[in-house]
Amino acid sequence: MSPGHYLVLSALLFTIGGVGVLVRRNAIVVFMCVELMLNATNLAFVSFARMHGNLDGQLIAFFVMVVAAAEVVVGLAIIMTIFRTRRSSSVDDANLLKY
Amino acid sequence: MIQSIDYAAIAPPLIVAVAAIALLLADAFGASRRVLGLVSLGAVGAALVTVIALALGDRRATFCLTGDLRGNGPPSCSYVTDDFTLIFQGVVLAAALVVVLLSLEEITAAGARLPAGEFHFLLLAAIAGALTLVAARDLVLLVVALETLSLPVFALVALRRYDGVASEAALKLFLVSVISTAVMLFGISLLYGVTGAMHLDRVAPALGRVPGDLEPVAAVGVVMVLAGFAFKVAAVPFHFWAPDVYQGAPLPVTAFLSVVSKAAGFAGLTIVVALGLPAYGHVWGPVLGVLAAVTMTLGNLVALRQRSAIRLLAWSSIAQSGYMLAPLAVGDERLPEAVAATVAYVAIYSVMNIGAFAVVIGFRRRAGAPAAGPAPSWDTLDDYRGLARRNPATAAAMAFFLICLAGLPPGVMGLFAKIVVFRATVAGGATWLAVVMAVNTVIALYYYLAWAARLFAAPSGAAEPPRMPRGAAVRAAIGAAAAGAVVLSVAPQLVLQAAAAIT
Repeated sequence: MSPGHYLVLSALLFTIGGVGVLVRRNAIVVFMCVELMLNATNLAFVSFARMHGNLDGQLIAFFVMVVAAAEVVVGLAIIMTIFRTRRSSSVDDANLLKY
Repeated sequence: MIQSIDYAAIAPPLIVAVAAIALLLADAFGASRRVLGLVSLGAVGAALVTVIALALGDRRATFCLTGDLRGNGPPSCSYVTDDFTLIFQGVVLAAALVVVLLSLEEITAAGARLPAGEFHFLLLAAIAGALTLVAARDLVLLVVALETLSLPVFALVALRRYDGVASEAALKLFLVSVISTAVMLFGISLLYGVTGAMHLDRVAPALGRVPGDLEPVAAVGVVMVLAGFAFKVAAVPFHFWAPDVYQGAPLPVTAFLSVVSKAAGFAGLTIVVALGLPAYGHVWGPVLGVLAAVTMTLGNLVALRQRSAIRLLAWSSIAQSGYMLAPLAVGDERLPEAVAATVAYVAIYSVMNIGAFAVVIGFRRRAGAPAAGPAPSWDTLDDYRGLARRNPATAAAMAFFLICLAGLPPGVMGLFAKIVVFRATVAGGATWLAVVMAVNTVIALYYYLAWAARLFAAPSGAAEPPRMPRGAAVRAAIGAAAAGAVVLSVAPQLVLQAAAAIT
């Protein structure tokens, strides 16, 4: 398989993640879609690194994984606090702050 | 091959990061809040002294490519302390010093119940991220630094965890931020795919010779990278988190977001477009121009109808982002001049905006308002009526900050900042944007002056807000910001020449 196939897959995953972010209403699911977008990015980085024959792309993939893990830690904690005060994790219920 | 590290160059973020970890440990062993606050203050002060010492010495760079990896290419250093970096590190640390001063009382307040150790740890971690971001000259370090700046701020916003408003604000900030990070990373992957490089001084020449059929890919990559930074500086259409988060977060964190985080975001944006993407100036120039025009217009129009002081400051700082973006709209034409104008505006904006926040924090804290709530008392503009009679000095300082933000004399520094931006915009051939800016400046006069006039109006007669705080820290913060504003109004050339010298 040529790197091109991996790039198409990566673009597809990124699009699925992006659409999911826009249409889903549960904060956890929105968050999972963001993770999907980040993993699509990783796939693109690694395929490009293979195309160019240098390691920069693989290197940044590791950093993206660390960033994603840190985001999970903070994000789930925030969703937990929302759930404790509101008994719901839907982003539609987050409506205390307006205009 | 072992790479040598220039510890002097990385001293400012290193000091702050080490202090952050030391604070966390000290908190675990039960150090008192006062000690934690003083250590935090001392670390930021020490880093500021280091930046000044670096500014007096040679320019340094570290984490450079060596030997075979470098080949015949440019030096490709990841971390550079040049004049640009030092100006922004100075601005970030000075503003951070004021934020720490403001937070000393906020977190010890009886009703606040903020955990002091975590607060100072997260604040210092975010400052370390901002200091690294402004020195980063390579896309990997830029992304990591941007996340080091963002992630602690989410936690800081949510720190009042029994409070539904704060966690809602944190959720909004978090979701918008991680989405824009993902979009920016995909943009970086496209740029990497087209150029095969991560260091900005290698990306720039490679982008100049992209084959024709790959040009659309590079252009999409450029626009996606801009989206990530547009979020950080709260430019339309990535602005809507700002008012909600500013209102829901603890106020010192709000001041941090609107000054330190925004200054670092602008530094990152400027680094990427000026050093990495000059070849695509015809793509990002018009995009930033439209963003700037929409941002300033929307920010000012919505600010007109705000009745709450914090939300007014939020929308006004969105509008100010538009002014800061405007010079970059010229694209690759006369770029050095545009960068100097943006740097000067960001530096001056930081002084006046942190001052305005210091007064608002002092006003609301003493007033004994409930720590939060959808409509906290003593937060509407009308509560500021008659402040001049009770606290003439504070009211005078507030009026001065507002006049500077509006850009009227005697707030000379705000005026000069606007003139520099106008000149760079017109010189770069974006005259239409200068016209939009002029109209917006006039609109903004209304709400800044209406607020300033209330300070000197007769009290409304209803329940009188209590006097301003006696706390030494908040007073010191207001005094420091006011002193900075007066000095820069008497001698605005201090900033303007320093900014002009970076190119």
